[in-house]
Amino acid sequence: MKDSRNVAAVAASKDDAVLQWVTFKLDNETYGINVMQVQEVLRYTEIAPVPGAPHYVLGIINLRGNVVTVIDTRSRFGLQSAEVDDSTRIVIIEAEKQVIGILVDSVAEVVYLRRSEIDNAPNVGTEESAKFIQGVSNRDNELLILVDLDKLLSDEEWAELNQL
Amino acid sequence: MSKSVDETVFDFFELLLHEEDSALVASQVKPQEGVSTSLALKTKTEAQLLNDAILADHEQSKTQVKNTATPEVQLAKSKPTIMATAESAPPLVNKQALEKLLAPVLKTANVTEEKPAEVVSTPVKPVTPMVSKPEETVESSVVEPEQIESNSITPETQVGFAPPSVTKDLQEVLDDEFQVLFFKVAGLTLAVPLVSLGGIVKVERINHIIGRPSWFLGVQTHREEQLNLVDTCAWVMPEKYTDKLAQSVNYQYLVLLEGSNWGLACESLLNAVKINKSQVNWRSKAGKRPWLAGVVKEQMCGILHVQALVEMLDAGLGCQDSIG
Repeated sequence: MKDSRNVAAVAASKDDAVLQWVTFKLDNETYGINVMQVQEVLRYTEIAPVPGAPHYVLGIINLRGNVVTVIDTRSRFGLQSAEVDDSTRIVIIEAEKQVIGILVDSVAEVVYLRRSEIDNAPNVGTEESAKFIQGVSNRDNELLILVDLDKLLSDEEWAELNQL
Repeated sequence: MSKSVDETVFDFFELLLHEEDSALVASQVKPQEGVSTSLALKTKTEAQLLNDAILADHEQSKTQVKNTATPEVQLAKSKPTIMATAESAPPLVNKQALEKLLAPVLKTANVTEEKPAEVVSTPVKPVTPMVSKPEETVESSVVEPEQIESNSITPETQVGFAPPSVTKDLQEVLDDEFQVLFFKVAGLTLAVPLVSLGGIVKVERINHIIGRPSWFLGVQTHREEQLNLVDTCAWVMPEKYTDKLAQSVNYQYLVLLEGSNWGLACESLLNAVKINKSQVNWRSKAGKRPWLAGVVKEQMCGILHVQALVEMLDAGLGCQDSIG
């Protein structure tokens, strides 16, 4: 009897898996990205512009001998650009088998969310940027917007980035 | 004497309600193409004039607001209790714009009369100001057509528009006497039946979600649920929602739509009153604007068909989009 309860509890918890999200701020909103895709978080460092690069690319940085492309997240999200300050960070992520950096206003924390705590984002978007919102979650009366990093760029854009 | 902005808005809503009918008449009478074109031209001019009038009224009301207290709202858990506030004195209006506006309205009424149509016979009260005005406005309607026809304005019609199918008759759901809540946004008064009201919430922290339509204001957390906020002004009258108007709109409350998590942002709540079904000019046919159930005659404002509105919002449609 006890064993069957345990099995049921394990099954239920498997259905409602806990996921970890790294949260960052962008224009006063809090966004979350899957912690498994985050490699590291860097303080802002000089980003070298790349001539002829797509508009969503800010430039490249040298990360311990590796060249990493940094994406202009604000532009990607349709937000106005902002001045770099002390809390600006470059989050190094892996998506679509590529390592890139995304520039954010600040990085906040790592949060634990059950799958059941994630709601669908209002499905009224038609713009390109609507695609990479994979859900929203309410935490302590604050809305966390969860980003699907794989959809941050289109297939063509990922390919374009690979050849940069 | 010119009509007040509320009366003008009433005429505007009346026209929205009958627009499909007049368009139908125009398409049926093909040889008289000129008539339908001029009608469309007048509608366009009217829209512009209404825009002027609303802007003038909004400017006026903004200055009045500075001197008056904001309406208080008591939010009960299940049923919203609204403290009625006395309406301020009738606002001053852009007279010239209104006089121009009234002419095409009367002219349109004449054109639609040709159709045997269901003209809703409204029980006219002896004291209503609308009864005493026709003579004055007829004069301007005689002068006006030439000016309008000479203007080369492209008609703002929606060609190939499929009539929506969601206009389930609201009247069936309502009792003969029912309560409505009046609320205001950018000088425009709207009514929502209380049976379709999900609640009233104060606008607090709005989370903006990227990639959404311009009328999607954002998301607000309320009792651990997300409310989707509609920029009512941008949704109801997108063609009049200029940057200037957008900057001047100061949303204070959310009128929640029953059975959904949609909330219409509004600037002020006027009052909740009991009205009779006969006091509303109900939409008689499905048309372009299923969200508009009719026009409340006395208060001269549009009454919302919440179910249809929710369906449109769920589908991500703007007020002028086809849902057919």
